Amino acid sequence: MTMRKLRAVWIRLLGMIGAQRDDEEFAAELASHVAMDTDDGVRAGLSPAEARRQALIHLGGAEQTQQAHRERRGLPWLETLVRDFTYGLRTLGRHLGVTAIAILSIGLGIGANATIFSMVSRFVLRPAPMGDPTTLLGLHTTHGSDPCCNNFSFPAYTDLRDQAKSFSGVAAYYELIPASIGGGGQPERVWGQGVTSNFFDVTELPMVVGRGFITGQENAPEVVLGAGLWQRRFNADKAIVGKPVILSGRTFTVVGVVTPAFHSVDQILDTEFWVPLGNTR
Amino acid sequence: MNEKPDVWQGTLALMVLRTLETLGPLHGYGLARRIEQTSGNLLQLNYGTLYPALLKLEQEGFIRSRWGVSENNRRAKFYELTKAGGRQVKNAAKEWEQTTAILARFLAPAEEA
Repeated sequence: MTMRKLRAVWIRLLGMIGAQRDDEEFAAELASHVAMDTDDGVRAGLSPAEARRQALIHLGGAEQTQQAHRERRGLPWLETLVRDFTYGLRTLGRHLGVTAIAILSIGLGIGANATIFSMVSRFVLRPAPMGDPTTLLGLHTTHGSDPCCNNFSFPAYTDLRDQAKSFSGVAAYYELIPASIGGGGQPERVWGQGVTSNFFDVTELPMVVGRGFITGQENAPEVVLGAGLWQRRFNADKAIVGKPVILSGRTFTVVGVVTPAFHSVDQILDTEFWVPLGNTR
Repeated sequence: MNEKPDVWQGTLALMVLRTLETLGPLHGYGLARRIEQTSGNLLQLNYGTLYPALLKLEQEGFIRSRWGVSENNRRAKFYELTKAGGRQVKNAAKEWEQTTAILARFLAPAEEA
């Protein structure tokens, strides 16, 4: 039964093509029907005109019958939809100015959304490329019973680091430090973070070249560069490790370049360099 | 005189199939007359409603049609039962008998116990 219904829908779909010819064919069928009914009426003694009138009454109206037949032949709602669509297109075509503005604003809207989305997806939705994100936790203090703030005093941090037994390591970072970078080309303002010396070990960040900081050396004049900055200002120089970089007038030695996928722990800030926390005091 | 009842929804198809089964190929007008006569002229059949029903049966593959010449030498479209249509008559008739039998039980006068 269901197969029969499907078959009928398919035929009705096809019925939308060549509707003109089907109309003519059904008109012929109806004409022959009315003619036969009229013949019978005349045989029964009616005048030809009255017989024909009766035949049309029996039928319930030739035009109504045509219409009912036409609706059964195709899929009326689909035809209406197609007609509405073409009507819409024609109307748009007549008002070119409005259409252009509408297309332009929709285009801009989509474009802006796509840009914002691609940025969000780059920075926020993609997890930071850290060793094993499931074992990495962010620590917050609470206020009331709600998580509140993640700014710890340095002594609180050192206590946590030394006494918390649940963690293999506790690192801290301080955001954000502006610095001007000069030397060879236009000076530029870049943003960086001060991090504890164990930051790159705790986060298990892959390095493009070099290494992170040596644990315990909180005041070492060393810097880890973001891949973006390294490519932009240093032409992705593979031999950059050991070379000096001047940040806001102070000289740091490059010890490593971090993987390009890393921007910051929460991925929202686009951090471009990291120095040991002691340098920021 | 009472109004003649209209044809119930869905029963027209069975009437058409059964008429074609017993009488063989018929044109639309002939079918309409036959159905009226078979009902003992009790049914008020609007002839126009027959054609969408015929088209539906044809789309479902229960009947097929071809142009021919009527007994009075008029060109007319003739409808005939397909094999699937033959099976459908039997199924639908069985269902209909079941339905009427069930209803008859409800309508029968209550037995005095």
